Amino acid sequence: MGHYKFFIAFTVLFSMSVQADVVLMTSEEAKYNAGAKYLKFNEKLSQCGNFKYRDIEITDPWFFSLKEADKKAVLSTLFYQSRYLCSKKERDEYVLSLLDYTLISGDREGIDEWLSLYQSGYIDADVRDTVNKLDPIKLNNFINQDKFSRPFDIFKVQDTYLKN
Amino acid sequence: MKGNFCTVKTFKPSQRTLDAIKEMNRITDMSNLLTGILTLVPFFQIFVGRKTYLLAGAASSRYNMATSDWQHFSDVLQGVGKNKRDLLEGVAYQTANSTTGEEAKFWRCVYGAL
Repeated sequence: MGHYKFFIAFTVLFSMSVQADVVLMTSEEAKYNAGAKYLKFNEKLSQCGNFKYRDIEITDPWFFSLKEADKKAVLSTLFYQSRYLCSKKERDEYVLSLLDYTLISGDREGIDEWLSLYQSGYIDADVRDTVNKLDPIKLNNFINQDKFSRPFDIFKVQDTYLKN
Repeated sequence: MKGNFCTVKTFKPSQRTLDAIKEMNRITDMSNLLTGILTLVPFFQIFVGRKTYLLAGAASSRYNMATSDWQHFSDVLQGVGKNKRDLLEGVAYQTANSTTGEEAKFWRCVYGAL
């Protein structure tokens, strides 16, 4: 947290400075850039959080043809994917800026923390293994619908569409 | 958090809950927090009493939380970075799905408070 507070402090102080091309960046410029990207990523996460209780409806026959355990795994996949997609652009930009900073400065603290935080991946392994056994075309057609591209009320959906 | 009703009755935490707490502590303890350590150990101390230590006492402790406790928990977590709270939500979600009864309800409340 201290590392990121440093990013944030410098970003506030130097927010009006001109951003250099990556190949010309100094360590300090790369650090400011990563700090700015980090703030944008967190802002986006807050915006995505506003969808936490969004209602959605599922009507796809393919989904209803699945076994209960597979339905549950598919809904879990939607949970993880919707959150991932909502902030994907800002996350990717932040991670890239973190890599740039690491390469330019040699300081690995930020990237090491990122790797450690996300060491379990973006989805529970059991959920991933279960859904990967389903028909990939039908699965992708289902989960790639626009209504699932941002968060929604997962527990309400589970309570509605799963047998308890 | 959504709604005002998240009263969780007494339950004995399973290993799944204890593992989830460890993971949440790992996430929030990841870096040197200058503003103080915001881990979930204080959360369980709030609920169970300051003399109860997480690993030694939790297996036999009973938890019984009222709505106001959740608001306090939510307030405490405001100091944790948004990306870490996002990860904590994932842990709470998965643990709610891996437990049953009041324990699952507890984790749904944790999810709601994040």
